[in-house]
Amino acid sequence: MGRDFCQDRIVCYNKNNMKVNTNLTAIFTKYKGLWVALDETLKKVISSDKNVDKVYKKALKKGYQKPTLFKVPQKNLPYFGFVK
Amino acid sequence: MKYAFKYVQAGLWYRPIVRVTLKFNKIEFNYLALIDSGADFNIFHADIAKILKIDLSKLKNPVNFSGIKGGGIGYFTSIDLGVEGNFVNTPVVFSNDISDNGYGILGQQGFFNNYKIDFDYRLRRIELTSNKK
Repeated sequence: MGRDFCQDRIVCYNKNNMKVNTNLTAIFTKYKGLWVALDETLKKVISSDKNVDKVYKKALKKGYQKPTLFKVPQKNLPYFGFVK
Repeated sequence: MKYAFKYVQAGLWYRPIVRVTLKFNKIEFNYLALIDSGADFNIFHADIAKILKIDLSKLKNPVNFSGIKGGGIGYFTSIDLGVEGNFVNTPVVFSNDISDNGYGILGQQGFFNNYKIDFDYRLRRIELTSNKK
């Protein structure tokens, strides 16, 4: 994640966050219920598994020092709360 | 400092999910979490505490919490939570009781107390203003 975008600006932003809405629809469809490690753009899945430790270590092994971890919901339902 | 994000799209839904960085024990990674003004605390998946080498069994401050249906148990600790590389040390709850259809949550204590947060659903945009001077 570059830091130079944050210097001398009133609002700083990561261009990866702001061009368009990050669309995770395909990831929600393909990786239901799994942990995924995503790259900087949040578009590429580096690794996936039920075990987040494996996902993280595999991402490190592939050279991604700071992957983004995300637990993909089992179902993409309208969201109201979080408890089992 | 202000930070702007776009909403994340998931099928029909646009949600205020942002990338934050979790740091503890010199281990650091990013995590996608939902900004939820209805949550009292940050609540993250217990699984990721293991990556941060936090042993939840050694934490002596379990907290019961409730949601739409039922409740759960989580464990309080504090970690460094970063937005675009700027960190604050803040309380979080790690829990195994986040729904399979749920998300890690950025709530009032631990996130809203550190940022002024503006949601603009029309533009699908979130703006965070750090309270840190």
